[in-house]
Amino acid sequence: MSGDGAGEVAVGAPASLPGETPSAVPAIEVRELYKTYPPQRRGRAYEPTPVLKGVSLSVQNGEHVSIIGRSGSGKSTLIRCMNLLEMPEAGVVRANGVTAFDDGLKVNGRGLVEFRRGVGMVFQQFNLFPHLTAAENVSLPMTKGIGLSRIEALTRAASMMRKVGLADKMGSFPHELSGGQQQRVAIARTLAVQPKVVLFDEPTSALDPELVGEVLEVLRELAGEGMTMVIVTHELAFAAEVSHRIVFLDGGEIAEQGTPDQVFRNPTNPRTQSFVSQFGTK
Amino acid sequence: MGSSLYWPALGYATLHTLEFTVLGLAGSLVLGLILALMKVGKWAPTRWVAVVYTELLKNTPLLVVLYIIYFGLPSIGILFDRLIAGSLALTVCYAAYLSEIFRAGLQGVPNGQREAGYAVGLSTFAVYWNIILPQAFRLSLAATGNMVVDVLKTTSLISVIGGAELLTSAENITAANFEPMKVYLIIGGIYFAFCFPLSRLVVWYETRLKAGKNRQRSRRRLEAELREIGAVA
Repeated sequence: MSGDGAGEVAVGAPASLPGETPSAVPAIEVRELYKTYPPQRRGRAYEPTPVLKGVSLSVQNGEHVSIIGRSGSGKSTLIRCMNLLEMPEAGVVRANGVTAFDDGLKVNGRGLVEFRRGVGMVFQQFNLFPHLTAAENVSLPMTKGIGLSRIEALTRAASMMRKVGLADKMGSFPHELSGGQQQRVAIARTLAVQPKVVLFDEPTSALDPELVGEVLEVLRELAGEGMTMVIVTHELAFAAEVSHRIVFLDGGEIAEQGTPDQVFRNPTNPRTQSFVSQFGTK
Repeated sequence: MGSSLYWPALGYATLHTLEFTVLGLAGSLVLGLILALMKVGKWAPTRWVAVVYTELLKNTPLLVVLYIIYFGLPSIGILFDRLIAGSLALTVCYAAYLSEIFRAGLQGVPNGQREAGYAVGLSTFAVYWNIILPQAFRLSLAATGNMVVDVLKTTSLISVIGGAELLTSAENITAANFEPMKVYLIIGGIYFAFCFPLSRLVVWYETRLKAGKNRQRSRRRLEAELREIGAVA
């Protein structure tokens, strides 16, 4: 597809990446990803809706990539395909050296579980388990996923909760926490199984404005530790601050990508220019 | 009062009624859950089997199902005794009703819960067992409780095959002592004596869940464990 050439050029490790060789195996990559939502059975929309039209993206270890774009551009679908919560029709999804999806062939159930353990995801709506305490939310993936004992898991959960600044909220249930606190618990839950890559699907979009800061603070800290991160976000200033690379998605294709400076200050694609001039913060 | 003579018979019949209730309930809860999981599952063939089963049994009188099982099946060589036939009829019919209740409960759990489970690397089984079912259980509790009481009352239909439960026993007694009013009032009272506490129990448990009593208990348990590992003061 047309955007491919431009995409590949920029995929090489950005200069700011510590100690990466250009030939390093990417932490996570998708290749020529196609996704179409089936036609609606009811109503007028009988046409299938193409959402991703051959998107290729590869993220190096320790790299922070932000995906920006208008609503409906395919950002969320793209990131949801990266851990196969959404199954693409065609393309390749590969992470941590494992090919989990290759043109319609996907790994078996066991393999998929293993694959997802290496690729964490933080959701817009937090999706904490409402019937469990914060500490149990964080320890459930460890006890029921990787088979730690409850005490081991709680010990690790406690250190995760301390990391996100909620050591005193271990015994709280999700409905007793603010949105920002819930999202921080969700981040702790994701980190607990020690994924190699974390995907953030609009992590602050559901938050009241005054709670956005505390979540971004946690993300900033994670970025500082060198975690590999892919972030779908509308917080352009934040994206510019923490990202090595900005990917601008438009109409299911990567319209432009590059360093924050390139994309926000000197966009070459007219579609990027219009988006940045409309939403960009200078 | 000659009535003292039939109390032992009624006691025996009460036990039979409870036996039918327990067996019918156990069967229908298990089968109902399986059907509900089939209905929310991804695989179309099993989904259709479950849907067709439910519609078929939901729209056929239990009495007819009971006749088919007890009087019909023997003609093709399948024989059940009264206990099995009665429990089976309850099971297959109530499984249909319960599967609809459970399906609604399962679908009432937001999809994000499932996704969050998968995203942290849990298997489908672990996601259902630890995340979906506990929440679906809460959502289905009130309706399921009503069904439990309903099964107990419906065991009286099994009297048509001489199930030896309360109503059968009452018919036998009135045939001997000609006191239908008295006898039927008594067994009505026995049904009530079991059903009323049962429905109150369900309401009580629901209120308890709403008030977060179970939450408080699991919080206390957690805090004790955290103290043990020295994670909190």
